[in-house]
Amino acid sequence: MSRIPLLLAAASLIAAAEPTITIDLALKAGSGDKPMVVAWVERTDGTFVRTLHMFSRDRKYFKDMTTWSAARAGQETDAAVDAVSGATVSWASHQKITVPATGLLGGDMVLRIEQRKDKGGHYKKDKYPIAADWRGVLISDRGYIASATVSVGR
Amino acid sequence: MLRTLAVILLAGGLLAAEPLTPHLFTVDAGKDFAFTPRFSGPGLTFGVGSLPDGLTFDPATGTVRGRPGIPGTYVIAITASNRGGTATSRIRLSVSGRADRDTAPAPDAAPDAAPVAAAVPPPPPPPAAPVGGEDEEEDVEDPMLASGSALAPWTDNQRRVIRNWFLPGAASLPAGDFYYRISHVGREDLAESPRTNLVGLDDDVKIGFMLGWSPVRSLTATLQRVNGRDLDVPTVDGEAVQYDTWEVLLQWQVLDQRGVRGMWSGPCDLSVVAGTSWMLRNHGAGDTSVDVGVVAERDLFDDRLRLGVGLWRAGLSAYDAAVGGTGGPDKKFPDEIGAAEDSGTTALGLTARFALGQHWYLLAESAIPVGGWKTDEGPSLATGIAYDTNTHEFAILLSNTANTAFNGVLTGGAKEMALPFFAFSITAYL
Repeated sequence: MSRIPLLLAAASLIAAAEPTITIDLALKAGSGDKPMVVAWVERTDGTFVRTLHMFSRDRKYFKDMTTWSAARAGQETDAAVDAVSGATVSWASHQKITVPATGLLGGDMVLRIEQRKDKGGHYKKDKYPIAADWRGVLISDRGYIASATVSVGR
Repeated sequence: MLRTLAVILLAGGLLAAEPLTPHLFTVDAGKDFAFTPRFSGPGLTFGVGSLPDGLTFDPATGTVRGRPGIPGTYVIAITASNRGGTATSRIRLSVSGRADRDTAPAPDAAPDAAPVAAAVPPPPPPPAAPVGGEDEEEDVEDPMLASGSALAPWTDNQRRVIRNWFLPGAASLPAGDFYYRISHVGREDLAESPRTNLVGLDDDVKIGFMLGWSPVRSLTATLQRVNGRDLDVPTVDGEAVQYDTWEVLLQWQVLDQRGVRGMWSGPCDLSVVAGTSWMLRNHGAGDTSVDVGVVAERDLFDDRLRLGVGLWRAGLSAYDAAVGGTGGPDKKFPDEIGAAEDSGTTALGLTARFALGQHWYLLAESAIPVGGWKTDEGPSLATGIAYDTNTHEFAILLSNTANTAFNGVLTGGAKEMALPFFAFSITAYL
């Protein structure tokens, strides 16, 4: 029995199953200016890979996400960020986004999340290792995040 | 994709879905660890190279599991073989000797050769130190979150109270912020009282303004022009008087109780204020006063109620001094010639701000002269309601005085009117 059809079938199966990362972000209750939240991936040595999603469209304030801005400087275009930017999450509300994760699940990556509110807190040290068989992570009560469910689709 | 296909072709009948770069895991010494490489193919047999102390290998599944005991970095090579060939999966395991943020994921319950469907994620990792170095800046905590509870809906709006109607508040602006306010005080019959006239844009539009700026943290400067007056009352010299009052105050916030919870626990917001009022008269001459004070404010009931108390001293301006007989005989009201010669007024300030909801507030304020000039006129009073969008505040007030400048509130009052004054203000925070 020829193995070639099996190999081709397997290859097509792999090609169709492009991995994805889904972030379901829920914010705490609050008032005033809504916080900006950004998620990106970098290598374990700190090398910037790419932005997963920016929960804001106010480009003039992107620079205030200082950790993310410094990491992506010279590595990612503004157009690339615009493509993954969306509405700011309202207080006590949630948003769910799904992004391609091709090349991000190799086991040497780290998920970074930064949150900042105008004249409020600035949370920038959150790092979550991404292993090859990573199934995601559940973040609870961190800064302005009530919960963030990060899951992987394969 | 291309890497995966290359592995398939080279390995013949062995499908290896492993990436070509080593996995990286970190685990605390003595903590559970497990890893199962993802190989698929018929008739697989598994093997492993050297293992660190505390780990075992299951040849039936290829799983490495256990509790590594000795800190260090290890490379573990797991092989899978069948008649099609041999493939190797290498993992790099870093065993730390302390609690670390970058802990490994929860141990796998079973080997998994099929694509992993999106599943309920495991519990979150514990708080961790940053990967890659210890020179990163610390997080800036939001003091409103310090208590661990959700923010009250009016919390932020309460923090933006910079100045009450008469008197400065105790909270300074965040560094670099601006605010401006326009205000108007009037009554039905403006013609009867020149003291209801504010900045004389024309006879019917009297607008005062205020600017606030915080160059650095805890320091706020305000400039206001409120008591610009067109006085049609002839003086002893027979000349109509016009003058403006300009006021500059500097506020230094000594204590910040933002985020403190509890009825009477913790300090309050406390500021000291100093400044001057400068009265410009129509012939160009002017003079200044010295104004000082201290104010304390406290948020209560989850920031719903903000109470303030202050002790203020405002010196008489040259105009008041002149009519009081302590200065040069320049411009005077005929009925004020020979009045008391006290050099200023000391007053007690009381403020209250109550949140009806996220946007609506009730306001009440009083400046009670307790010594010096014009104490016989009684307190200046104001009450009203405000709508706060966090970037703007719109307030409507009733007051017993047209004087809203800090110095004028203390040293004059102008409370002879039987009817209350109607006032509104629009404040914008930038």
